Amino acid sequence: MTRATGGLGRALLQWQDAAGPYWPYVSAAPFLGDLPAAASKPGKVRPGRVSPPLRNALRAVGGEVGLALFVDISPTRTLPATALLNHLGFIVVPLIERWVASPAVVRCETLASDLAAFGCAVVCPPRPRGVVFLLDGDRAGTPGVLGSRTAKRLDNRYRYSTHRFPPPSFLQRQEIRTVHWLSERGIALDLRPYIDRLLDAGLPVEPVQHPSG
Amino acid sequence: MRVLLAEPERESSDRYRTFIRRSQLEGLMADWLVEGEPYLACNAIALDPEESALLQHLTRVFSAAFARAGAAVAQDVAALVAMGFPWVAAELLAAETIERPIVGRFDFVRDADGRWWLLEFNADTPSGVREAIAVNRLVGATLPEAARLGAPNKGLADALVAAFSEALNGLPPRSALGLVTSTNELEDLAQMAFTRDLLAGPLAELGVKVVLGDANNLRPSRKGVSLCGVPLAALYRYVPFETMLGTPPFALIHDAVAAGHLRLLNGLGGLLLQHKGLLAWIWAHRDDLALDTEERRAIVEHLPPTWAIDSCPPDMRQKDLVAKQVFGREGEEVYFGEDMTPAAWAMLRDRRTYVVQQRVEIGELKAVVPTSSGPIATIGYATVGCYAVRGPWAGYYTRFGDKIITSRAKWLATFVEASA
Repeated sequence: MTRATGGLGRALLQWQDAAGPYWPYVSAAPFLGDLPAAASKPGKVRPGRVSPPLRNALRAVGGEVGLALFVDISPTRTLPATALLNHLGFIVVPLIERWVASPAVVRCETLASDLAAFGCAVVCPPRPRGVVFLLDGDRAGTPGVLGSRTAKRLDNRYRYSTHRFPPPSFLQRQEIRTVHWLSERGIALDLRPYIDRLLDAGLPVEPVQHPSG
Repeated sequence: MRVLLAEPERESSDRYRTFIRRSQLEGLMADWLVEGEPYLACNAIALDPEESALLQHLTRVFSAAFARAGAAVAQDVAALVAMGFPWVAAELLAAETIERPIVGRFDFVRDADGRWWLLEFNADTPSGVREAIAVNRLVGATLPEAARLGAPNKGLADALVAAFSEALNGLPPRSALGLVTSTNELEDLAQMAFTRDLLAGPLAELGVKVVLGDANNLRPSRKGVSLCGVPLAALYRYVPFETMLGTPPFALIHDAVAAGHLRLLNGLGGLLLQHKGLLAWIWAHRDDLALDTEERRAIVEHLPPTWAIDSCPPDMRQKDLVAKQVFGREGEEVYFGEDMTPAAWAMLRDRRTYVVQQRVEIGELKAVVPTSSGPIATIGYATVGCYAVRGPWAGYYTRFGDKIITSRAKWLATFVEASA
């Protein structure tokens, strides 16, 4: 029984191949969900398009090496920057645990087509200077969205458990020396235990100021 | 029982990666990491044919004994309340027919002398079905060392389909079965998606549609409940009752059941059957003629003596006991007496929500297990889970770890040696 056939199944393997030593941390969840194959066809690749908060974060880290950047904003705003991030020497790891389905409370069609599209283009830089983890900034959904009109949509909102996040010792073995954290409304509650683990292991965590934050 | 791979140089990173990819795609193992460390080992234990036959026999016999014990205890609301069940749950249990669950899992260990002991029964929401059905098969296809071994889990999928089909017998055409889980728990969600895929085809032939949803997707409908907008005739719950009790979905489900609008395939009975106090009840009734000869014999020979913590015989030494919280799951709140101060042990006794079980000196094994820094060989202990589908044994689920098997343990496949 193989579910993730076609675009998303192939994309999972492409993202893992391009993640180098970080391959275990490409979360498989959005690649295995329940979206019809037609809805998860690769979307249009939008190379070089970078959302303002991510652009700001990249400016903030400058030419630093040995860094991990966790980006906790909407993945449909960050996945289009995959090629640019690769060009800048970053391994890109989508760490998105959303169960994709349609209809769903947190919509999935664009995410699925972006994962498939940018999976075709992602590469592992020859001499990586760091890693970017693209988190799911949409995971909490929109407040108050559940009502009678949404009764038929799968409630796929979730909180991270951090089980699928790389242990601090693993990051240190990859010569990561600093963690930068980009989020729109401060560090989310569900991710604070992970931040504490990083800090306890001696990895400094630098919040990146969001322009609208 | 032996482990197939005990030397790390026999595992390769490329092979492991291919195995994980296939596990993700074929077993929906999106959740194969625990605290960032791999949980699935591309390794296995091999049981002797005699051991396998014994475990299958014990699974069938203990299934009957637990069902009998559960039915007896469920009649006594005061006793249930004394066991820690909230009054409303006790009343619901008293009204429920206690049956052997569609699927439960008995966890056994083998002591240093080769005797098998039953540690607990996971009867409410047992995990591991994906590993037992899909990943076990992949280990068999990946490891040359497994080539000549018997694949004991090959009938588990069919057994589950048959049990669900039977449980839905008599529903009108175009009915729907709801699989209700928590989408916030990736492991539970993926297991239910796998179960849905397993059931969808065969149940469609019976005219039953399978719907997967979160407990938040349950709504009152004109005649009962709906899930994701689909009216349900039956429901299988994959959310622990402890977290559901008193919530709107809990009331919705039980109102619909009471009105005769919904067939609940796993009520509170599973929670009673896995309650550690039932282990103590069974041990106390080991000579009770209400249990048959096979059951009494299995209890005496394969259940470690178990008592409510405040009823433990005074001559039992703390260091020879293990305390288990009565509602604990997956190694939660399990304490070895040898690791606790007398004061801490006394605190557990004062809480009165623990049983104590005579400690089993489990035989050690050496196994190669994956870590985030590569494969390592380690000494540990195996717990062999035996799935019981409506009573009879139907498959294995083995974990390997420290003396308390928790979520940090590694999963190993299970095979059976070829008969001589």
